[in-house]
Amino acid sequence: MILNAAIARAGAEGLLGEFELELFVGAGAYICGEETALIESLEGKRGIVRAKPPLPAVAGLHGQPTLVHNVITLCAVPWIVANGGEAYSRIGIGASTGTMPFQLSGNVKYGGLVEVPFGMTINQLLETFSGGTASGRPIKAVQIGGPLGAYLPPQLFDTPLTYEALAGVGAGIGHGGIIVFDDTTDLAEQARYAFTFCEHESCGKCTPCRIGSVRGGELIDEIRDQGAEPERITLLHDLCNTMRDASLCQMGGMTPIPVESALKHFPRDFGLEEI
Amino acid sequence: MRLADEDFGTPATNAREDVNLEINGEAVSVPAGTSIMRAALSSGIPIPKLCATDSIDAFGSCRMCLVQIEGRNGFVSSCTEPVAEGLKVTTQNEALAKLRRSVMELYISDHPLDCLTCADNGDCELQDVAGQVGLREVRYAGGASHAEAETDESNPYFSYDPSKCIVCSRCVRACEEVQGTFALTIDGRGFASRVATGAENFFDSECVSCGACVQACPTATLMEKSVIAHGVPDRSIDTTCAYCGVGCSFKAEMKGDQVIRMVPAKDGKANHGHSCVKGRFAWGVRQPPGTHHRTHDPR
Repeated sequence: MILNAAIARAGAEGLLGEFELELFVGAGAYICGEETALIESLEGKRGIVRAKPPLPAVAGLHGQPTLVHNVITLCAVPWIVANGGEAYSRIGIGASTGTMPFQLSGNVKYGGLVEVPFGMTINQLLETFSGGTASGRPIKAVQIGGPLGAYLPPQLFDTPLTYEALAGVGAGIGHGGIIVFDDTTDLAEQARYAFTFCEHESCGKCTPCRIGSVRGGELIDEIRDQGAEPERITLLHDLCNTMRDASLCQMGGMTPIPVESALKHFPRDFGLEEI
Repeated sequence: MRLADEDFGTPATNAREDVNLEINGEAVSVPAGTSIMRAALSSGIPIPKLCATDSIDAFGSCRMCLVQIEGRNGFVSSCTEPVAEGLKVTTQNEALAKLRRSVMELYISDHPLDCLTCADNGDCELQDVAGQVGLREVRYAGGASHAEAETDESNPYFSYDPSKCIVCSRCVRACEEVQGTFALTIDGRGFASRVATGAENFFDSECVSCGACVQACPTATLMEKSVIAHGVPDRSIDTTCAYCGVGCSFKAEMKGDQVIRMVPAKDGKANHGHSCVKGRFAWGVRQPPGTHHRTHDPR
């Protein structure tokens, strides 16, 4: 409604030039954020992932060349057109140029959207904007980049929010979501949630994601209920490797990230000794 | 003994120019647009596969056919990746073997272990590939499964047992691409995904019983009732369907002198591996039970 009204107004004011904007409302599946599933959905089909190649830029919507961009990317375009690419590349740091809208949520006093240049550390962002935890308790972890993002402990909060630095600690910037958890959080439960999420949102096309997400959840239940026997932990790692390397898209491919990062940084929550 | 034709995984291309690449150090030359899978299989280099069959387009869902390409990160499904000049492909190493075994372990964690009494025993691609990748154990303990899913026996010629389905979509795609009827789809999402028709069962659906789905199914999920009753055929005779003037080529798959099933011949000039309900299933009229021979005694 809001977007359609905005599009109508922009059109009426002549701001769109020769462009036509049309809003297509999906049915709510997370997987339809994946570009090829999004195209299937736009074509009125089930939202399942297409194998690539061909890339959508070669054969996408109705088989025609199609560019798929995030809203964040499109929003950066007018500024770049107005001020030039060089000016844009001076914002941010290293290869992470420009700004990123971070979404602070979870256990924070002040949640919301803040757009800052790439390069602030996690600590700086939290200290500047979050006002600490809503519960008043110490922070135990943040999850960065969405439900398939890594869980990081406070020891890593001096990591700059850039593509390169986060990759260096096994994390990614993803969509810029930052969820804060206090010290009452059980990270094994969060790892379980990653599989639950994948199980619910998997399109079901490829086997590592379709069956792996279910088996992963069951395995973590076993680890939590019956103990972190070495065979169970080995199987969990094997499953994570299989999902990462063999999944058709990043839905199954990235589900191991929250699981493995929780296991790495918070082994005690799984009943394991610190490594 | 397998009666099935050789399966190169993906359809041939019409391209005239050839592309040269290396697979496991062997020089291979195939027409442009050929998949890495077809290039390998047609050169005698095996690649495990489940969701690929050369009567339909590549789909890339089973992840058994992963290969590695020099200079590229990660693993590539060889069915969906076309050849390119100078590619250096590895189809077998320790990492690939482990991945394939792990994916197979996931498949079998939701598959009944009744091979010995299964109608597809000896003719099952899942069984073959489990052997091919060397699966030795399934470490997942029970958990969610489709073991209790009910079999749909509504079609007079074949049954649909969802508990054996590996969701490769070969039946759905065969219905679309080979027959063009679009009677099948995948219903549900994620683990709940199962083959379904638009109706309550196969018989009440748009299905025209052409049998393309049964032929495409790599497991006993879609199975000719005649094979369930008599077992996998052991020899095959080339023949031509006499029902109409099209002259479809068939393989009459036999046990002794009894026809067990009629399978459309892939190299049939009139039908290219396709059939209709009459040639595929309604051949009982040619071989009535007992001594009554209709052509001799048309009562």
